Amino acid sequence: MSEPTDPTIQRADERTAEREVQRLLEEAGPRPEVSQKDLATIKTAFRAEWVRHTGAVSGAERTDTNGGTQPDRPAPLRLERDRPRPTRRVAFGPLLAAAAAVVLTAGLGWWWWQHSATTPMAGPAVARVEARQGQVLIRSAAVRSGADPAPWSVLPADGRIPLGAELQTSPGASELRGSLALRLGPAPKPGSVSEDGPSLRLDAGSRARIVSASVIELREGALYVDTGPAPGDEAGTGGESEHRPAVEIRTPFGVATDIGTRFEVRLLGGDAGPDALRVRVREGEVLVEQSGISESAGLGEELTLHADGTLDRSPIDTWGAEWEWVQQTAPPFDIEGRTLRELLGWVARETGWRIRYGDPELAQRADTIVLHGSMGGVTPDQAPDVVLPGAGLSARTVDGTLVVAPRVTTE
Amino acid sequence: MGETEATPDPPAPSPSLEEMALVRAMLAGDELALEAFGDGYFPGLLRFALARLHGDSDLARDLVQTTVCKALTKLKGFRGEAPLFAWLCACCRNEIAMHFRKKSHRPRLVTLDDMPADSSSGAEPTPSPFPGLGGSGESPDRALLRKEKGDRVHRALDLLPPHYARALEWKYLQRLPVNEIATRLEQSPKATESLLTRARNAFRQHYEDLSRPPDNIRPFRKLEAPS
Repeated sequence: MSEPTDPTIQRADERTAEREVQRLLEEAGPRPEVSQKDLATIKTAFRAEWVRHTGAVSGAERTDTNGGTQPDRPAPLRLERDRPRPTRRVAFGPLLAAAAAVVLTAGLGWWWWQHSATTPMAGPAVARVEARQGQVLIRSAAVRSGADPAPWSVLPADGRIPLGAELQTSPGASELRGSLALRLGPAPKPGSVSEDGPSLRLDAGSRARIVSASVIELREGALYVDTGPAPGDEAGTGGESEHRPAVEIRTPFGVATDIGTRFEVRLLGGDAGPDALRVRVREGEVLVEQSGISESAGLGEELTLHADGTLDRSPIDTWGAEWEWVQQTAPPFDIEGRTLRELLGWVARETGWRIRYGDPELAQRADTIVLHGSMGGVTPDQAPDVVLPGAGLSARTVDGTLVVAPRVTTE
Repeated sequence: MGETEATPDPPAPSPSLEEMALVRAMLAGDELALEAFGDGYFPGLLRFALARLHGDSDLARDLVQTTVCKALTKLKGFRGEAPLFAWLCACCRNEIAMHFRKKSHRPRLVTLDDMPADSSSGAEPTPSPFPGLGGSGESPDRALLRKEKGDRVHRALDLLPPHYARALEWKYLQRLPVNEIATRLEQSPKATESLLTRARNAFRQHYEDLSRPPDNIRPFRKLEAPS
């Protein structure tokens, strides 16, 4: 049995211990602050993973199901099985009333389904996912002004993007680094998206809202727009739909509108938020408007609009490391049954390289050489080295030009 | 008589039980637990990663993000045998090691161009090559020891359950009275006093553990002469 400690000694010990802790804490000072922006990014990604892992519902949905409808929040979307079972009545009058109530409830439910933003995939689709890497989150916009937006959820790989949805790609260099390729387009019928709309790509660490099939609001990071012909066509051969409205990228610093082109729009800035808008044009022309003043940028040009209204213009390469993320985000290209010219067109379009045939006869045969097989996860810049040797051809790049020639064998 | 006897506060659960309860609630889909987990552990984890990545905040953010997302699937097996934060730090340490293995990263070389210019001939004093150390006439050795000690204190605070660490900071850094801390913690002053005692004890324990040399470092033994 242990001897009981004298309470006076115990109190003295505690006082000494307290003084010691106080001294240590005072000498060390407060713990260093960490970036709130970084914390928010981590929390968002963790929440998405938590939703996926636990199948948990959002706070908004949970509040509603527990406590009824709130005045500023849309009514919860309820599954049929959650509704209370109507009491069976024999009398004819109440039966009619119940039927009317069911019809009314169903009608209201349908109305909410059409207008509610609590479900990420609710509403007509205006874009579809072509390729997704890493972690990408989606949320629907708030239904009414002042209401909370819907919670973030993980975007499915084959997801459809509803009108007004907001997308966010994870930043950084880890395996969670997110990027996204979308195909924009009108929705001819609910849930489907036209195949030939503009292509839109979101770089890692970006946030954008799909206002409509032709209007995108960039809130953070960068996006790339390709309004050219569908993949497989030779780069720069046109084929743009006459009826397609111009793609408009809205940012806090101005609006970039395409005039048949491929371009990147990036918000520049640090932790304090974006402080400039940069537009880089790879092909065609882009109109940038800020406070009623418009400037155009052409092929191989870069335009930077600063927060103070000043503007810089400089020439750029349309290929190279600065465009790397665009081709890394490119949707896969199926080569089965496609011609050599189609493949090279895709490569040129994604990498920004010009294509030159080292042999005039080969240029003529490019339409008749048909490819078979699959490239797997090969990126556009790797494709020539992977595919061409099988067709007896070789490729090399010289200053932004891909030179394709018959393979020389040394016997 | 006639006095109303105060209801005694229920015995406080141990930190490990509290952490296990938090983890269970979060895994069961409790959103408040999710928020408490993020608020309580992510800042410390970010500090932990930043200290090991020489302040590379982008990389620290990415690796912490990967760590916590991966840890979520493993949390089911958390038994509270070690503090939750220590467990998360171990996961983060692995993630950092894996990152450098993948990248075959080498430590950054400091070239002569990176060093401050020699100003011994001028009026300006030579700045310390180590930011935050030895800048005020303090010898570099002493400054390094002071910094290490400060880091240990911060690390010991991070290892505590978040509300313990906050309570200690409120009491000893912000000098808040116990009543104010009790209000912030939404509990009685008596319960707050006993929480502060537990927090101090836990803090001292962690601080002493961190001050002890690692187990794998053994003192030199005298070589015995061959017989």
